[in-house]
Amino acid sequence: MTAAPLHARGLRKRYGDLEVVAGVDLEIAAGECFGLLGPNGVGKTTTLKLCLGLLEPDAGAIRLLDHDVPAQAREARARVGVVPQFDNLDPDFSVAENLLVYSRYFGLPGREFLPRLPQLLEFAGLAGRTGAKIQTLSGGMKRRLTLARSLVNDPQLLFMDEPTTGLDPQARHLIWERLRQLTQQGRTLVLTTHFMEEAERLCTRVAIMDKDRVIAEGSPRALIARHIEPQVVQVHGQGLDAWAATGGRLAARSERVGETLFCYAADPEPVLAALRGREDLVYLHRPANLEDVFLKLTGRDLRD
Amino acid sequence: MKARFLAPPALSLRFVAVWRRHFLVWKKLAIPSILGNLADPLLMLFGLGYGLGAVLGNLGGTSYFAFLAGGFLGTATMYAATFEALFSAFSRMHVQKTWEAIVNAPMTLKDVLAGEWA
Repeated sequence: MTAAPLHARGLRKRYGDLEVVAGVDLEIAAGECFGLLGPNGVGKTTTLKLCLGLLEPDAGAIRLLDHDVPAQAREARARVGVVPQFDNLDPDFSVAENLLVYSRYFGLPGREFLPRLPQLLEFAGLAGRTGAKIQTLSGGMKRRLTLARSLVNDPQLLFMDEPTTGLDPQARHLIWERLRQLTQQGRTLVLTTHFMEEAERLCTRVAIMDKDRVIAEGSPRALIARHIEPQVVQVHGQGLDAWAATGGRLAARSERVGETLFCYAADPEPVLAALRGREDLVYLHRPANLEDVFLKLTGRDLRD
Repeated sequence: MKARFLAPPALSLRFVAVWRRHFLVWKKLAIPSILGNLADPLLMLFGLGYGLGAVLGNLGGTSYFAFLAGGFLGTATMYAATFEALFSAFSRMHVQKTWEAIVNAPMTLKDVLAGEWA
C-alpha cells in the first residue's frame, strides 16, 4: 500500500454556534509518529473523532486506510487502534476478559485471538495480573491495558488521545518506550499531547493547532529552527524588575511572563555576562525547545 | 437529511458481540442481583402482609396476605426488569463510557443499541 494511511482535507465541524474545527488538513505518511499539539479546547479530540468517523464533518474529505470516512468508517476502523483520552475499560471484567471482549467487537474468533493474549499482556507489563479486577489496577496499569486493548486487532494505524496525561514519570517513560516499539514494528501513530517533551522525543512530525486550525507543521527540530532563537536564558528573582529593562535588551528577543523573563538569542553570552555575580537573580541557560515554539505560537495567556 | 433519519437501520450481526459482553457481565452479577430483587419485595410483602393483614383480617374471602402477594409478584417483576435494563444501559452509556469504547472498534451505535435491546 502506497497511499497515505490518513488523508484529511478541509475538515470543518461546528457545535451550535461554535466552529471547533475550521479547515484542518492532515496528511500522515506510513510509519510516522505524528503529534497533534495545541492548548485545551482547540479541537484536537474533535479532529481525531472526525478522522475515525465517529462524528460527521460539516465539510471536508477524509480517507483512512483507503476507505472513505465516514461512509466506510467501519471497514477503516477494523484496522485502526484507538487509545481514548479517558480510560473506558470495563470495570466488571478482569484484565484478560477486557481484552477478549474487545477482540469480539472486531469480529475476531476466540481461537485466533486467545493465542495472542499472553503477548499483549506481556506488552502491557500485566502478565502476572491476568485475572486482576480493573479497580485494583493503578492509573499507569490501566493506561497500559488500554494501550494493549487498542492492539487486539493488530492495527496498522493507532490514534492516541493524550496517552500519558495524568501518569507519573515512571509510567510515562514506560509508555514512551512502548510507543517507540510500536513505531519500530512499522505501525503509524497519531497522538495528541500537551507534553512538548513527549512530542519532541517521539514524534517525527508535529502539527500545532490553535483556535480551530493548524498553525504550524513540521518536524520538532525544524519548527524550533524556524520559529525561535536557538538559546534561551530564563531569569527570575527579586531583582528582576530592576534588571529586566537593561538585561532584556541584550537578547535578540525577550518576553516577560509573570515573574520570569525569557531571553531568546543566538548568542546568549552578553545576557549571561550581565547576570554573572548577581545574587538577587536566579537564571537558567538552556537550548530552545518545542515548548518555547508552542508558547510563542499559541500565546502565553491561560486559555479558556 | 430527513430521509436518512427515517430510513430503516442497517442492522448487522455485529451486535452479537455486544450482547455477549452483557451476558458475561450478567453471569457475574446474576446471583447478587436476583437476591436483591427477591429480598426487597419479600420484606415488603411480609411486613405489610402480616402487619397490616393482622389489622385488616379477611378481605372478601381471601387473606390480605394472599391479596398482596399477587400484586407484589407483578410489580417486583416489572420493576426489576425495567430497572436492571435501564440503569445498566445508562451507566454503560454515561458513567463507564462502555459505548464509547465499543464504537472505537468497527462497531456503530446501531450495533450497540441492538445489543442493548436483544
